[in-house]
Amino acid sequence: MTGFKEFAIRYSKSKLGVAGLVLLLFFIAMAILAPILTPYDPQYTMQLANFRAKPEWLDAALPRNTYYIKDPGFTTSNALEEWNIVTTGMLINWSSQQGNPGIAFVEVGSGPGSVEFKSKNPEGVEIASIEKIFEYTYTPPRRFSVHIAYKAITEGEVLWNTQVYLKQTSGKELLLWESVEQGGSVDWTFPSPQIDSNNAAIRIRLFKDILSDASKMIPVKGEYALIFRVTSNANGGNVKVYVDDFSVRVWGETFGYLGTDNYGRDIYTQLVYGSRISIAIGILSAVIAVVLGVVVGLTSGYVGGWVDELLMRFNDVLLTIPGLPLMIVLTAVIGPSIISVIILIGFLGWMGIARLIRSQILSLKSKAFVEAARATGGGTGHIIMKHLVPNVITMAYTQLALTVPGAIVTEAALSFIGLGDPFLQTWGKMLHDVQYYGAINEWWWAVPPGICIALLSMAFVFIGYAMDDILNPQLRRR
Amino acid sequence: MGFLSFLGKKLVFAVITIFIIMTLNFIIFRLMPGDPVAMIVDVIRLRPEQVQRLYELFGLNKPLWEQYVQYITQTSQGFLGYSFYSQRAVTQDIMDRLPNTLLLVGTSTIISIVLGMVIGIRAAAKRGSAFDISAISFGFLGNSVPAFWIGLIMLLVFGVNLQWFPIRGTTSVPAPTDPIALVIDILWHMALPTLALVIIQFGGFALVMRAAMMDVLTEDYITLARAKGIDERSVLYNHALRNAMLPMVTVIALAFGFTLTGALLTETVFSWYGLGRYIWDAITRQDYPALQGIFFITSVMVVAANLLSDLIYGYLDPRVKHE
Repeated sequence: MTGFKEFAIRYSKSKLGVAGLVLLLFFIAMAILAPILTPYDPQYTMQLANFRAKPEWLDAALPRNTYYIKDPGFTTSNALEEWNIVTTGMLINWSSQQGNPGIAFVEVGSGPGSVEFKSKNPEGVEIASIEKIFEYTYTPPRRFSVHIAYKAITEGEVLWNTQVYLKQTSGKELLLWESVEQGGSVDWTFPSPQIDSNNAAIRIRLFKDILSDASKMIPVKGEYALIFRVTSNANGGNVKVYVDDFSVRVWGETFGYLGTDNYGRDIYTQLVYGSRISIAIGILSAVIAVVLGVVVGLTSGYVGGWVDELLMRFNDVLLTIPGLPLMIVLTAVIGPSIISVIILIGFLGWMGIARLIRSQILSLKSKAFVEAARATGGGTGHIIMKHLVPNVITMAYTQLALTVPGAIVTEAALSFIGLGDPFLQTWGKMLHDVQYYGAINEWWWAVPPGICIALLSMAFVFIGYAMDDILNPQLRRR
Repeated sequence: MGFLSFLGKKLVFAVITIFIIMTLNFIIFRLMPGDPVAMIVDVIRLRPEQVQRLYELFGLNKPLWEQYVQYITQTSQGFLGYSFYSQRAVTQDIMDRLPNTLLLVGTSTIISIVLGMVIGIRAAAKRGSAFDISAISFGFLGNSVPAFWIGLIMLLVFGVNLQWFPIRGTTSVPAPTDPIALVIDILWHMALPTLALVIIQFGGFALVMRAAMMDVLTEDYITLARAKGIDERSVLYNHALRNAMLPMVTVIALAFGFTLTGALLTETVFSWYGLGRYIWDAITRQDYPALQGIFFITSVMVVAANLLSDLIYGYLDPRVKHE
């Protein structure tokens, strides 16, 4: 294929072509390296930080995602070292047996470690607690949650309950949650509803203000403590309370390179994975359109006659129908999915190509070599394959490159309106989310997808024009 | 061939196209799974006799070809069904919004054409200059950037951050009653979306104008004009432009279809009370009659624009008439 080598040499001389190729390679690299560039899933990894979090580099004072308990599962016997133990009698120890086994499909257990509170005196009230002191260094957060699992084994007559407190810098203890005082055993269970500042009941109870958020719980920088307290009131019995999977989370108001969306998904991840879809859709739809266009153009040009007339009329009718409204209507009926988008763009993008190929065929048909082939007995099929197609192929490649940008932008438009695949975070879908959730002010979310769409389109446009210049010299300007 | 038969041929073709569009509309929505009446019944609770009456009203109990005929007749008379959401005739919904869209699209297209032509002519005259190269680059850029994204960015910068312009709607709420104030209010709201549309569109026009001009400028009669001593400005605008306009007319009409769809998206971004926003709303609310109606109306508009351009082209270029 010496022709290709010569093409490559001439291509490398075209500034536009090289620029386009470099740009395209950049996005291809982004697409291939996506799993390395980000560990998250663009669609399903949610709640990485608080919703609509800002990028981390925007404001360093804003809270980051922080988990304050180093070993929430109490997996090793040293787990209790980070805790302050306060007890008036009860024994608090690390237990290697009674770990939280987790709930199927909801959460994974952390293994056999846990903390055991064992009541000592058979009569009277005992109170014991473990507290975790942490230093809060950011501006007040908007969301704060505590996760905890507990279990109790009782013998005899005893009343017990458990509480979770947050001690603020002033020393005031906010009661985040307490269990019902009861006398029997319970297997591993969780607070219900969960201890989360998003929970309106907690906010109303503590602050009498439904519009408050975690900033009322953690209003200033400083030293805070999370306290888990067990109270037992024995009347001849004893109780063993176990605690496990005890984690404390301040939800970040910033996250990652580009923040999070309305579901707490990482926007940078969506951007990176979006390249895969855009490239795939762009190329696939363009291939469909070009193949259709070549077939129709070839047939129309070579066969001629009423076939030509019919095909070209059909071509023109489809051209007149405005593409986007038709696609909107079709997608609304077929149902949004990536396949329907690809097929739609492909089946509505072949018309211009068919016209071009047809005129090329018409001019070739009258050339001498076709007559010569016929004269020496070449059949129709032979003529098409060996003589016409090779001449048309180069034009087809160029048209392919030039059709991709339209396909990419059309997919973005469809997704923007809401007709794209609802399970794929394409760049267009990201912009849809911006519009739908009214997040225009979050420019780190609104701007990057559009820039990527534009750059990827331009890459193909540059490549196409460079190819056009080299491969179709007869169209060169005088 | 004569101009009249040329006109007639184009007209017939346009009518056939519209007919095909209507048929497409009919087929597509009959293909939909689900019962159209059931959708309405969801919204209002009805007794079985009323449901039956609805069936009769919509002609759903008649054979398919009868429904088709009824559909064609109704649509030709301007009846486009009832919107699920607003419970009004779709035609009325559309007529409410159409003027706004036409205002936006018309203004931005005219500005883009004029701007594009001026830039294209200058770029062709000074081929290879910095002006020329930047003109081409902007043209490429405009084609690659999604229309709605430019709108988003401008809204962000000028509307939200700088607060120079309003961020939504066609008029303020409540709208000023004084007619002059109302006009100014609308213009103020129109500024950003128009600017967004112009940015996207003018590149295409500039590129075509430039290409057409460059072709024309190499013709012999231009060389002759220059040899005769006619000043460059006159050469450009009087001699070259007239011939370069022919491809421009085609592009202008074809662009109408693209402009419409671009405007559709831009309207959504700016909450402009036009057809574009109507599409977004109809999709979000699954208002199928509205979608059908919009598709039909926009198709008719594009067909009409193409017909107009064909006629103007035929009028301007004597060669076409005598094919």
